[in-house]
This record gives sequence, structure tokens and C-alpha cells, in this order.
Amino acid sequence: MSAVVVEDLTMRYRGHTALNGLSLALEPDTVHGMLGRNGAGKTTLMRILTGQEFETSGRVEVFGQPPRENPAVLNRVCFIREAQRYPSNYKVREAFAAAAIACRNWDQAYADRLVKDFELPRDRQIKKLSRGQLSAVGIIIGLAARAPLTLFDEPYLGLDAVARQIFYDRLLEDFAERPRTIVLSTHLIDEVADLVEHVVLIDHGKVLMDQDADQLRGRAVSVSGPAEAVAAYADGVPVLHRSELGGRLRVALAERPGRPARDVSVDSLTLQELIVLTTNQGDRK
Amino acid sequence: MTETIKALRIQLLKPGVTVAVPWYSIGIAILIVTGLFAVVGDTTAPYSGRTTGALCAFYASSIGVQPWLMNQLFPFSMALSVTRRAFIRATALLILGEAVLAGLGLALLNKIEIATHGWFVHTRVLNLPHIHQDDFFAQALVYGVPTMALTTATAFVGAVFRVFGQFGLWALGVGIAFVSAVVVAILMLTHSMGHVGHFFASQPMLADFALYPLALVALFGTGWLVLMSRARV
Repeated sequence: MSAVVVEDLTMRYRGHTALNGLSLALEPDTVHGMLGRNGAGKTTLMRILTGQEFETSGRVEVFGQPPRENPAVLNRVCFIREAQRYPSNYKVREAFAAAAIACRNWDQAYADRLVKDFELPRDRQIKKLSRGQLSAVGIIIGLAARAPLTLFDEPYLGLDAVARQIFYDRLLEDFAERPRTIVLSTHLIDEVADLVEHVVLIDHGKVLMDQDADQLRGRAVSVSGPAEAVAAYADGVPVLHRSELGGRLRVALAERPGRPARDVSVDSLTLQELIVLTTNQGDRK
Repeated sequence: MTETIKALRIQLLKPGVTVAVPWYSIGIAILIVTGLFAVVGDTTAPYSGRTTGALCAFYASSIGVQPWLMNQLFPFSMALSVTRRAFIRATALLILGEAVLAGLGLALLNKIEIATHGWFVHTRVLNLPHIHQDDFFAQALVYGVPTMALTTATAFVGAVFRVFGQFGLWALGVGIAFVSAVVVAILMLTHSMGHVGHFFASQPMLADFALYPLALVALFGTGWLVLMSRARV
């Protein structure tokens, strides 16, 4: 059974359509990368999945039930948002104490370990934390909650590269020991390229891409060489991007066609390049 | 019920903020008032003239708690997957609990004030002439129900800000001012102002301080409930 099933989901705010008939299924015990431009509808989708926002129409099920005001679902969900707000007069340890009350799988020993890893001052007031430290609070809550469905929406605003790597490492370690459904929304696509197992690309409130990361890796290629040779090689394959200079042609192809001619160069596209090109192609359509 | 208790425990995680602030205030107010009266030392003034407004500190200092709950703890609780329904029930329980605590606590302090002849300096902090009741529980109602009305009203204001933001607060302020002005104008034009004053003056004290504030609780409580059921984070 899928952890999340969304069918024909539409969300409209005062004349603006944030989600436009979006359909999606997320398999359990998988790290899903939810990618897309700003305003694509990722946060709105995650808010609906966690009962924080109500859909205009469509079907939403999390663990087989609608999430809206449903403690049976919400008790199994943790959602850490970009710029998550905390009571400003809370100390760091009080935020964790609240999470310990709310999250049934909360692991205090693990939270303590993460506090040391991120070098968080436990007794400092939340309002006195730096932007990166604030993000670390959210990450620790998200990881130590060990919720069967954990959603991170751009969780590392202000975090330095070292701290982000700590997050990726801890997430992978913990996921290996305790598999669960993790949805990670981020713009740092290359950083998470090896982390995510499944990619969902959302643009203008619709799903543009919904595929296993393994299938994507190495599938899309950049081909360059003499224009005629490249055109012959790329014949019949969907072209994501095309640029020509002089007699040389460079194309990005959604699939690797086969063995190239000797003077044609073929390189795999990174996940970020593929996402950018697919989004641009979607925008042109 | 488990969900409600969970939400309530999160709300009570900082009891110094959610519950204790009015008690710090009344404690400090009693200390200041008794200190001043002890320094002045004039015992010739009649007891009726030794009334203070220190009790206002208790009510005034409880104003900020509910807006804090609605605008800071509510989004955080939702992030921890507490349902709106559980948060609303927990807040209603908290408001009720605070009112009971305020009623019984202030009535007890009032007994102490009477027993110590005005905190040993013949001052009137709680035993105010217009709200005195002989019965302990009636006195608790007179202290407690206005507390509930005040916290419900501030919860409503907090919910208005939560749902409509700054513009909502502005519209609420202008709306209340406008309605008040219309009511006063009608009363003035119909020469009814005196009748209204006479009506409330002729009511039993318990009606003025317990029954009518309960009507405010129902009014603001309903508005708060409707808004919080729709609140987004």
C-alpha cells in the first residue's frame, strides 16, 4: 500500500491555483525528493498531506486515510517546514520537550546525539539562535521524531555545508536502520542526488516527473559533436534542450539512444541539469 | 481525549508563561501596596478610603497569554501534528482551569486579606467594596468569571490576528469603535443612558460579575471557535 495517494488534487487561493489536478503516489519506506521551482506547489501539497491546509477538491490519503483532523494519521506524520516557527520564548530543550510529548516514536537519546553533532546550545532561547541553528532545531525534531512519514520542506535554510552534510549522513544512517517514508523538498538538487530514491518534479501545480532516481541517473544525456552526426544520433529521441554554434550541435536528450558515432561525445546529465531542462521544457509547453 | 491532553501538556510546558504571570503580578502588587501603606503609616484614614486598584494588575497581566498561544504555540503544535480540534479543546480546558484557579485563588487571598486586617496595614487590595461576597464560592465566581471572559476575549483577538493578520486587528478595532459609537449615540438620542446604568446598578452583584461576563464568554468563545477551526499555519 502506498504511504501517500493523491488524486486530481486542486487547491485554489483567492484566484490563484496552487495545485492543478495533481496526482501522485509515494511508496512507503523510501526517500522521495520533491523538486520544483519556487511557487510550484510543493509546500502547499505537503501542508495538505499534514492537515495544515484544506484542499479545494480531489482525494488525499495518507496511510490509507484522509489526513484532515485525523489523529490516527497525524500521529504518524512529522512536517518540518522552511522557516519553521517556534514559540520565541522557548529554549531549545523546551522545543524538544514539546516534540517528545507530541511524537510517539521520539528518541531522546538520538536527539541528544544530534544536538552534539550540530553543536546546538540547549539552554539558549529560540529567538537568540542564528538562522542555521534554527534550521538545526527543525532537523533534529524531524529526525528524532522517527515518524513513519517525515516531510522536510527546505529544512536547511542558513545551514553551512558541513552541517548539511551531517544532516544527509544522519538521515541515511537512520533510514538504513529504521526505514520510513521521507519526503525531502529542496533546491540543492545535486547535494541530494545520491540520497533520494524517487524523484517527483512539480511545476505549476502539476507533476512533471515521477520516477525512480536510479532510472533517471544516467538515462538523460548531453550529446555534442558535428551537427549532422548529432542530429542523426538523436533522431527519434525526445530533445530537452538544443543549442547550435557554427557547425557543432549540442543537445540534451531524455534518453540515451544507443552507441554513438566516433566523433559524437555523450555525457550523462546530472539530476539538477535534468530537472532544470525538464522544467524549462514544461514551461515552454 | 488523549490528543487533547497531549495538546494541553504542550501548552503547559511553560507554566510560568501560560499560568503564573497574573500570580506574579498580584504578588508584586500586594508587596508594593503593603510596602507603600506601611511607609505612609497613616492609620487615621477610614478603611473605605484605603482601596487600591492593585487587582487590575492580575487581569491586565493575563492579556498576553492567549494571543501568544494562538500565534506562536498553535503553528508549532500543528508542526508536531496536533490536530486543530485537540488544540482548541486543550485551550478551552486551559481557559476554564485558569478561571477556576483565579476564582479560588483570589477568593483565598481575599480571606487572608480580611483575616490579616488588610495585610497588616489596613489596605484593600482584593476585598473591594463593590465586589464583596460573604460566601466563599460566590466570591470565587465574582473573581473567576471575569477572568474567563477576559481570556476568552483575548483568545478571540489572537484568533483574529491568526486568520486575518494585522488588517483583521485593525478592522476589529474600527468595528468595535463604530458599533460602540452607534450604541452610545442611540442611547444619548433616546435619553436611555441613565436607564442602562440603572439597570446594571440594580442587578444583583453576582449577575453583574458572573452572569453577564458569561454571556461575553459565549460570544467571544463562539467567534474564537469558528476562527480557529479555519486557521491555517
